[in-house]
Amino acid sequence: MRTVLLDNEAVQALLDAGHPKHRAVIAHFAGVVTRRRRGPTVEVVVPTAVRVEAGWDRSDPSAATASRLRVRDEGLDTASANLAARIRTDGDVSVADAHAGAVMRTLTSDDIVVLTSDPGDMERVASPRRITAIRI
Amino acid sequence: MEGERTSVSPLCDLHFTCAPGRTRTGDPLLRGIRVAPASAQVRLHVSAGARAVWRAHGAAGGVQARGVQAGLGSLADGSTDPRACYVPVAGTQTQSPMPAGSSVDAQLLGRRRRQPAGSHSFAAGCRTRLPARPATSRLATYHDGVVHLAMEIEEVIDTITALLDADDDSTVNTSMRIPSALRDAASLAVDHLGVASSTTALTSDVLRSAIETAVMAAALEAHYRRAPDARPTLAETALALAAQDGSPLAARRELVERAAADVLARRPDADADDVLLWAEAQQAVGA
Repeated sequence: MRTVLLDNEAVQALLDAGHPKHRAVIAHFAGVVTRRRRGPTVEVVVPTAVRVEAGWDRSDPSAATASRLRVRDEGLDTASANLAARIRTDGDVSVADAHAGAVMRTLTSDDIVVLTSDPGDMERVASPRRITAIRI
Repeated sequence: MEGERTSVSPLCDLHFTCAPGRTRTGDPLLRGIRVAPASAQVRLHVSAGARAVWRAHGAAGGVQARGVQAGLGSLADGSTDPRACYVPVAGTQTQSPMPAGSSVDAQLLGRRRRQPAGSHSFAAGCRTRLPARPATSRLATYHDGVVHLAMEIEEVIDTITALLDADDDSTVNTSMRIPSALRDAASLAVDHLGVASSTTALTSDVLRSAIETAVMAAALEAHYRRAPDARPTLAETALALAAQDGSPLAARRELVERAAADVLARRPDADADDVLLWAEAQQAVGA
């Protein structure tokens, strides 16, 4: 099973049809649909802290397309908040990156793909979990 | 008007490229659509962004869209909520919430506008070219009918999404009929192959996955209608998939683009995986 995780800029590009990377992010969603039609399970998730940082309000009509693309929220429960706090302290990273790291470390998927503007940061916060970080 | 790309508003950015009674191939929304009855009521969802663009058209080109303007006037300034107003076509009387007696008489000058940078509105990049057309023309009715249908599709997507997300564990004895052999095969697969905890779970999981995939595909198509420039090429989708796979093909843009062209020439309905397979084969042959 593959999980595609959206980082801050991927969300911003998804939300804004005028964003220079919008089409690139949409191409990844088109790829997800292609693969799902062939059978393999591919899901797309967004850490809620990333959603906050990117300003994605699902109830905002201007975000209708993004909200229709079956992007699942990964929330902060007690355990993941503890893990994110450790990641933030150890790595001096933002709250959103720490949450993304906690999500990546706890996902049960055997194949994690991250759409991000900074693959290095994502690999660092996900470590020791191996991920495929794609620069958008 | 034939062959001309138009849209009624940035928020209802729906295009038609054919005359009344004819359909454009390749667009499921237009397939099978004919001219709507002259008395049809069409519902338009209108945003503040759309209103702003329409007003800008009015200021720049003497727009006369009386019914539309009346509907837009009921919106609060700065609101981004889509509202619904009922726009009469062919000079029929209006219904609530439109003021009685207003009618659509759009003589709108075409122009293309861009949303300000940073805006999240789909108005960005949308074509807002509105052709001059008489209110009573069949073309206008046809166009509005297409708008109506497209909005229905999006409402269906939203309704399905809400149902999929519903926190409802209640079950129902469905009247759906499945072949008994398939039911027995599912039961055996559950008992001996471990595909799911029960046949009910298997059925639910597969059904949910299929519906979610269909919703995603429909949402993308709806988005492409609003923002045609957002539609990735087959090669771009294949490159994105290659990147997700961690394939070296992700760095071989030219090879993938050539493979996409080759595959499309033979199979117009090919998908991105077909392109990657062909590219890999070409790479292997060339090695």
